[in-house]
Amino acid sequence: MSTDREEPPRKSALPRPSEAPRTSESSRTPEAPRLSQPPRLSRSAAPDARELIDSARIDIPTVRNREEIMSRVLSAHRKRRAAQRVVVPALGFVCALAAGIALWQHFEPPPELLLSREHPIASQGANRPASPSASTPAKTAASASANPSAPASGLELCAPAVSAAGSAPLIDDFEDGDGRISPFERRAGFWSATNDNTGKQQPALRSPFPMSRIPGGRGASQYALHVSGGKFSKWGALLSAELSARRCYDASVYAGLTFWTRGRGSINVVAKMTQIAPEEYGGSCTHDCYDAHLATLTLSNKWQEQRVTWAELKQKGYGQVVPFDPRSLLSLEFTVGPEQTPFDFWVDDIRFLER
Amino acid sequence: MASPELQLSLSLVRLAFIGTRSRPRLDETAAEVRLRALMSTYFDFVWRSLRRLGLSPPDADDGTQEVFLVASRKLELIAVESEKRFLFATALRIASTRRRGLRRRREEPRSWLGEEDSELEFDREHSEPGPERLAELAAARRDLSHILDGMKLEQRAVFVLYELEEMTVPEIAHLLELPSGTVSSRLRVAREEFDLSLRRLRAREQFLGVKS
Repeated sequence: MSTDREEPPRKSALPRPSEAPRTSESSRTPEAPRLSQPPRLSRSAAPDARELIDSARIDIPTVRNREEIMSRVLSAHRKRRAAQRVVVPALGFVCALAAGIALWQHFEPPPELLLSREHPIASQGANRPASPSASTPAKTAASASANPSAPASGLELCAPAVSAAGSAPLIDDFEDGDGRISPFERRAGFWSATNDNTGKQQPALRSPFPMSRIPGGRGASQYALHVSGGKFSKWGALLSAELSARRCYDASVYAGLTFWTRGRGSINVVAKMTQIAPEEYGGSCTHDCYDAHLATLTLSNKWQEQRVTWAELKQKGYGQVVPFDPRSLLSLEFTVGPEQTPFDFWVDDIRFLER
Repeated sequence: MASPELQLSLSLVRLAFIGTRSRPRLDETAAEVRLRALMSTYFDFVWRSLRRLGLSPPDADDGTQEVFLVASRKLELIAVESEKRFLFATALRIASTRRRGLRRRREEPRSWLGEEDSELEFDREHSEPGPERLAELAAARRDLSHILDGMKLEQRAVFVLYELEEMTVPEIAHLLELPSGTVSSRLRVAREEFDLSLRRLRAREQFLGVKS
């Protein structure tokens, strides 16, 4: 280190004693600097040189400027620290979040955590055929089985499917009022309503669809789905909920559906397969879509339990013929066609029917 | 081989960890207390140094602020025993930059000398001089500035530290991180320059006085 070095030889670095100005404060006085250093001009130089050196004492900042500058520096310091306090943890949080997302994409996410990628209302209705009678003639099952990639039954199942284990058949009892189906067996979906815009419907269309309080209750049940409406002239109105964020649910472990209803007239219960929904709405249908498998149920003013087996679900016959397979479900729907309007019905405690 | 998502997530976690580690280790109060102490101790030294390295009083104000802003940013990195060295090195760099800026703008470094009279404040340790003494000191300060402006910056720095700040050669060597021999050599050259310039100045004054 430079501080440990010996002082250079006097002859090369410092003036000789004889070169120093002759003043009363010579380098030989007891207060003189060390021999390795020349005497300072303020003590040893001629008076005019000393005067110049002394004049440098006027070099001090004004008190006002000093205070102002110190205040500005401290203020900038505090601002920078405050920014650090916010920015650094924020960056850390963003990095951790990005890491979490990357990990989430790496490992298969549980479907319960996935939200529907498309608004449920938007996924329904608008592109439905104006009327079942207006659609093209039915195709035969033989034409469906002409697909070389189809299995022996003629049906190409959706994949990857979320499979029900058979241990929790409740789809929704509506008691939580959150507009979502119960998340048992990795089911995930929102209740929503839509119609063909030719009549009025209550409650107003929105998602999630609001639950209604049952006047006087139904045993222990206090909430249910309730919807009513006037006359509709195109394809009618519906309530629906997707069963899985993957839009492919395997309910083959169950035998059908069971639920409680009350109302007037009739409604249709629909187990919509991915094969009859168009691609833009999460299905795989490319033409003659929407002819879903359904069963028509007559309602009563009193609550009654309905049981519908998979075998009872039939297509109307205006679209592509698809054999029903509960391994390839997209959504569950309650619909009314134009001939079933006006309508007013309640639905409660929807479950899969155990075998 | 880990998948790209896994590698990306590991990199991000590492980044987040580094971000957390890079947070200042001094807590807010300690950092502010140290900065305040640094300014209280060395403010005058930094300002004087900038002035003596050739900056006008307003430039010295700005330069001092810049020096302490730099110090506040690097507070964690400055060892307590190296504070003065760091501040002077920063002041030297700032003075050099500002002087280069002055030359680029074709401004004479002495153009501010006229302002000096209005900015005069006297060392509070000394008794305040009377008006005549004040005028004499102001004239002497202008001459000193003129002489110092004629020196190279590295010689000027050593001269200022030795003659005006009254530091020892080893202290200057430590401050400037130079060998003591280099400091002594620069000091000798600076003193010769000072002596020569002073003689020239006096001769000119004598000539002008005879002429008038």
